[in-house]
Amino acid sequence: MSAATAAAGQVARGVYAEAVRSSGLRGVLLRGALPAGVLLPLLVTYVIAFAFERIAHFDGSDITVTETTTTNSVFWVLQFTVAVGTITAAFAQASALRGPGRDVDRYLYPRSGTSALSRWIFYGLLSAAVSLVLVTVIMATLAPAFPTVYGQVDLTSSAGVRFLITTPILAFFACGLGVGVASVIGHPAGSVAFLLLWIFLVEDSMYLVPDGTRVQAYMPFLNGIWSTGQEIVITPMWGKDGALVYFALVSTAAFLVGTGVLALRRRRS
Amino acid sequence: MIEIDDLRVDLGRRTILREVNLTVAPGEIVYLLGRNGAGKSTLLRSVCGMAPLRSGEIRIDGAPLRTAPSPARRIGMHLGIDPVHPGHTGRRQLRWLAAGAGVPRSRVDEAIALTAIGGYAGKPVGGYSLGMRQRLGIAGALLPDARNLVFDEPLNGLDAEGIIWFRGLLETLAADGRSVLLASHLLSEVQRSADRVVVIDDATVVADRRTADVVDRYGDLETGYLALAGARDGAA
Repeated sequence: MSAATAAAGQVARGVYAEAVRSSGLRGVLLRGALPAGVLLPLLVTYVIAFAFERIAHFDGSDITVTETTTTNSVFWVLQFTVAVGTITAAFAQASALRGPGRDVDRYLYPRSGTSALSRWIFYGLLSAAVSLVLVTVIMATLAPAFPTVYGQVDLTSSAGVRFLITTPILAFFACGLGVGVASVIGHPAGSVAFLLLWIFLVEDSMYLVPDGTRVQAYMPFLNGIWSTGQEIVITPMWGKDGALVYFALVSTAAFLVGTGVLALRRRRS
Repeated sequence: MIEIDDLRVDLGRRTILREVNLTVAPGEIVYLLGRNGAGKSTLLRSVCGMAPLRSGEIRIDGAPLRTAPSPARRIGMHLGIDPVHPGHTGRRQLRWLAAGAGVPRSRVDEAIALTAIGGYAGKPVGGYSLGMRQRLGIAGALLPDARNLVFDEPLNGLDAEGIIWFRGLLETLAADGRSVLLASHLLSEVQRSADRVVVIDDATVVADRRTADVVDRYGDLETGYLALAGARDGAA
């Protein structure tokens, strides 16, 4: 058996092992990712749609509700599902290499990056599949369920098809970024806190720093969200497809730096 | 077979092990003895590929462990009782290990049966007693059905029945032709089970003797160990 075949076999076993580790009634998937990454974006999307639809039907009201376009229809999936996938992957990576788990990882996988790559693949594919299902369901049901406000939302439009293609890609690479960050930080709570702050605070508030608008155009998650066609106020010079490539490159770089740190730690202890 | 040649392990600037040479032949039970902090656990971790080697080589069945497609199938290990995931049930922990090692899932039930943990395998590991954790750890070591096995203090926390059961398990493993390397401070049990004892002191092997020879010369293993380790002051 060649070294490459053996390495591929170890990665495949790592993916299966991560599926076993994260599932079950007490697993992070059921207790964390499902409520925060699946139920919450669905709930927020439909509650807002329901409220806007009701307001739009008020007789004699001074309030007017603007029709929502396809490009604004899956915002909460992009916000929550992608972020929760990233954070779940990061938590899984950091928690797997703490305490006795670190020794078991070394025993099962002789190469330091094997289990990290396995986690990227497992959580990345899962997050991509879940986000694809969610954007499909939301875009397919908003128009018939809430026709006054969401009548323009069209799954088969060019904007809809772009969401179907780009959101899973965004979700997949975001998990690689999460695993990379967690490999560097090495602490579950620290990794989660860092990513939460970065995604929901740092990138959004970057415009407050001097020349912030220009700096904000380099923020990876904003690039990723913008690349899907979602309307947000950044305009990177590389266009939407370029923004997706940029996010993929940043995520891959973060993952590679993380595996480098893992290799150094193995050599030292 | 476990072969250790001229091993040196440094952690940071400290030398934990140096010039360690040791072989555990098929069918042999070898116990490591030594003070707390002597380097026994580090040696066992090194054998399982967990600690970086400064120099020397460790071969498991003739080849370094890192070259094996699945290292866990070449050597089974139980090196600690701290649960990796306290929320996991014992069965899920074994399923997770089996998945990572590339061991068939059916082997999980066999390991549970071998260690008699079926009564609590469905409960979270975080609630296990010390003895239950030891049995779960031993089940994890038996899971890959490997020709080589390593145990660190497997008797701690086991009740009398458990100690007798483990003694029988070691006899079965040796009769099967497996190489077994352990560390323990329970010298009465070591005297009953060990084919050889290896004393580690000051980061290196200071004695490697057949247990029967030590007992013949010193009367019992405890006296022999203290003499071999040069620890007559009772510090051990």
